[in-house]
Amino acid sequence: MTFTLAAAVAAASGCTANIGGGNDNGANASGNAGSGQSGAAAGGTTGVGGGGGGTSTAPLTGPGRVLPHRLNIVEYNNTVRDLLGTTEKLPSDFPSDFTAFGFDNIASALTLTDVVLSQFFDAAKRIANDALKNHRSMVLGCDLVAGKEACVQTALEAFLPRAWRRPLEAGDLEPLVAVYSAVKADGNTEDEAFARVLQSVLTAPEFLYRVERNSGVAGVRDLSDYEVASRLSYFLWSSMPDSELTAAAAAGSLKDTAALTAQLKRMLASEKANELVQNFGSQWLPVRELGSVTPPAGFDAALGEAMTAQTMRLFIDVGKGTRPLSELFNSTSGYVNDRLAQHYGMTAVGSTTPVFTQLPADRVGLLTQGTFLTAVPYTVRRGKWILANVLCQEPPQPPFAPPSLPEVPKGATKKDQLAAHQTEPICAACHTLMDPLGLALEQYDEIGAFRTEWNDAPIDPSGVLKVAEGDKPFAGPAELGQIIATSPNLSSCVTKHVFAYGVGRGPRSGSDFDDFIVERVGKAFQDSGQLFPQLIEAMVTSDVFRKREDEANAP
Amino acid sequence: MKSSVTNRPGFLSRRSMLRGAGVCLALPFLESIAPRELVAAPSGSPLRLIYWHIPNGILRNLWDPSGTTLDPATAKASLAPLAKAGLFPDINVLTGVDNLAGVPNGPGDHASGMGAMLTCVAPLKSVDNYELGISVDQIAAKTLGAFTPRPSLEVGMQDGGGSGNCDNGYGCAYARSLSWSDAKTPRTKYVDPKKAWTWLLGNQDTTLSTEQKERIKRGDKTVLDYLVAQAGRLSPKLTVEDRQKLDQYLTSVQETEKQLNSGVATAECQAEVGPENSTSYQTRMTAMMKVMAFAVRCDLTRVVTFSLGNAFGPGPMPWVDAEDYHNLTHHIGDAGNLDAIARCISWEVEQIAAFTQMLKDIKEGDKTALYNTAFMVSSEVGEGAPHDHERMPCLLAGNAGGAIATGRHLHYSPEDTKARDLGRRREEAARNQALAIPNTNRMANVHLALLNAVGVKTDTFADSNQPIAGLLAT
Repeated sequence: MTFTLAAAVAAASGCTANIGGGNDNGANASGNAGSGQSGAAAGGTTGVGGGGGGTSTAPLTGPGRVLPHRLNIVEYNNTVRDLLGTTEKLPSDFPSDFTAFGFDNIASALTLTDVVLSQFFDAAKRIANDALKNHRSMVLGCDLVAGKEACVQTALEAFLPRAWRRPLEAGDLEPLVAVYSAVKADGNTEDEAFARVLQSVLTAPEFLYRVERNSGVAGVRDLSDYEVASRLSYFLWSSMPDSELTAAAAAGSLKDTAALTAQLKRMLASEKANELVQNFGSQWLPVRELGSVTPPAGFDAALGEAMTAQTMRLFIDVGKGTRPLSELFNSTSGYVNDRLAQHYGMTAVGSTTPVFTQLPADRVGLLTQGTFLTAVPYTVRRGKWILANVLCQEPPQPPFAPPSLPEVPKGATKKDQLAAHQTEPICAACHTLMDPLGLALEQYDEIGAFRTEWNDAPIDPSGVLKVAEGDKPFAGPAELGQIIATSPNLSSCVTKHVFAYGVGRGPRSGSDFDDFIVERVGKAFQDSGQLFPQLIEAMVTSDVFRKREDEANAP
Repeated sequence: MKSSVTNRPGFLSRRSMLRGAGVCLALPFLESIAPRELVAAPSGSPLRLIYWHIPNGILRNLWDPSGTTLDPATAKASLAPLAKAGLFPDINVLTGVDNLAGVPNGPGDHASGMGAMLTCVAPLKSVDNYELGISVDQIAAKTLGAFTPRPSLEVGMQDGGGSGNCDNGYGCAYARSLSWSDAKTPRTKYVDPKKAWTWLLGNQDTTLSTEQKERIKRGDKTVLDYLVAQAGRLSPKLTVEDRQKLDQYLTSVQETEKQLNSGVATAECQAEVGPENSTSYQTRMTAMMKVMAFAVRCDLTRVVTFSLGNAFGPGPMPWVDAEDYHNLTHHIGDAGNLDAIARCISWEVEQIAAFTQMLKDIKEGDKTALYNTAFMVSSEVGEGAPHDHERMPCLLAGNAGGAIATGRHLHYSPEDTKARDLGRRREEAARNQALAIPNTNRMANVHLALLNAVGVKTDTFADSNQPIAGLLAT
């Protein structure tokens, strides 16, 4: 496990335990610890590798379960597109999804209220009408006026398994045909009545939720082929399985690792796999956060777009496996347009769209990119972000009523000011880790513009990164990026993020099973030379993705 | 326990029943008796309940009034904007009220306190396994929400997303949602005023005849009935915990069905054009106040919660020359920081005063919307620097249709001060001991009084033991 550092620090300093006299362990053990149901009650914040107190009481040796996963906004829109050919979407006033572990596709955080349900209800009505008008053949192969209820039944036999991502079952059709009959009998047209059937299908729990059923027999079981197909499709495409994947599930071939891998490779090669790269990349890296910052002076939409493009274009290469993931942190080249070149003090690249080009010596990797530096503009928070999101060694929040930092006289450095963090052990325990990383980036202001002075004092970006394998001194951001790029923590940490994103729950604190998955998948990723598609493959073919724990039926 | 998919409006887990003596025991009772009758002031005007959250607490020495009558002449800096606006006769300031349910287990005061502000339940420390309780606004919505297009409105200034908004092992939902449908279900809020406005009005096609509208309503009901039945068919095929999640679905379908018969906005209100979203926090703040006032004026909802920022929000406030507000509270000894914090709070109170005035400008008979409203302001902590959960900010505006007399400073003290000592230890066991001490200066008692004031007939809320003394006219 890779929590050694944070745990050691916490133990040595009382970083968590002594603050406020609290004790993180034991007393509030999550009620689900034994069942391994949802994500762990891990410490830390949204990061998947928080070093705070875990709270489980029993070792979790099985694959656990994932709660019914309500489709998030992206998944819903993609699914109705693929199901019906519609371009209709959820309305712009749909409330944004909750996030956990840094992602908006975590089952336990995707809750539902009357506000959300009424939006789904209205959207389904609109989408059903659009489908009947513009994509009729996707939902209806017969003549309603002539065929009446028999036509409704025939149409549903084809449509329902696609919509609910499972084979038809006894009792599925009758209640829906009854909806048709009732609405038709109330003086509505055939189309109006069938639109109500479609609305019912599209608002039903098995459409809105990705459901994995309980067999009623306690213990670990293989997921069904349809369940695996659904997991795979939403992981890679943020959408429903296509006909080829569904056919593979129907043939029962997805239990075979080679066949599963073949589907995976086919799907990764599809354009739809952009969803994985975009949705994972923009949330793991602070790209979406850049969109929500209050624009500081000197920052505008064009600059924000250029920054986003720089970060995401490189991540797309990483996602496709044409560059190792480590290049995110040590690449000396990048995608820059004229606006960004100007911001970075480079000569113009002669293009308003990003061009892959050699960057100045002070721009090496993500930590020197405008995206990160603007989304995370403060010294200490920059350090904390790196620890939490890249190394999975997040220190806890600051203590209560901490001693104040001294006022700095003109000419004093940020480092001088933050030195006060070192005088109190309670502060030093965590700030010793965070501050040097933030100070390494002090040459970049709150929108990532380069500077050499702060408070009339020259900036010294050198420092030491303290990681489990020892102290790593660096001269500045370029060397820090290189240390991170080659740190074993990077592979492991990215694996944890992909675990949360791909499975829909975070690795559980205190779960031997999840620890083992992270270790094994992380090693496969590292051994591949940090190729992202290999990480995806190792995760998909692992037991956490293909098995679950059922419980005995309640008496 | 019965089948988990039942007619209950909210799921209450055994866990939350057991956590903290008496904390949740009131719920089944409340839910079963909540009346859906028209609740109105003696004048016949609708009664409303509005909650407003300010992040990071207050500075008590710049807030707490002296004496028992609010006197503009002696108003301290933080409340001066209300005095200056001539609103002291319309408000009450309660001091000495504790909300010890907000005490976290270890660090995590902001998220924990945010979760507890309107629930008065201590959140389970978990990043994604939420356990809290139904919030007071949602209890009110069961009664007050029956006759408006929307049962309640949840709005705020910060969405969150990504890291940095959660707190020491407490999930993001605690730090972001004041309003909870039940122990497991945080309610999302609108942070875009345009979206909130659109949602409030709903999709009303004003060109349809009454007969057409009724037929559509019957069609809606057919579909919703199907969805209820379908949830019932699926439920037995799931694990116990999965069924709890499906309960959110079932409850939501039932709520949607109830709203089929609620009122719709008038044509005049439908025709009004709402404010645009803005990247400027200040512009958006003003727009959001317009949205809330619109909801009140057009009677689109009678229950509103608003957060001026998430827990430890809202970030830097350069318009009052303040860096990250939360950071300032962590370095309160630095030169200038106390002044900066004071400016943040004064600005917040200026917004509160502006909104209070908006309500006062809405005439309802010979009274105003403010008169018919109970509007409360509080925070996730008492003061930002010590992160305490005692002596909470508690500002009330409006008369709840005459149930509350205003212009007063009401001071409360705990019968047993040991509760506060225990709360300061930030341990689960100590907190539960503190909550077991039957002090009457608890926040749940304020909420209970407000529920009663707006006509929700209940004699208990969360860990309340009586309506807070002296607030309601007898």
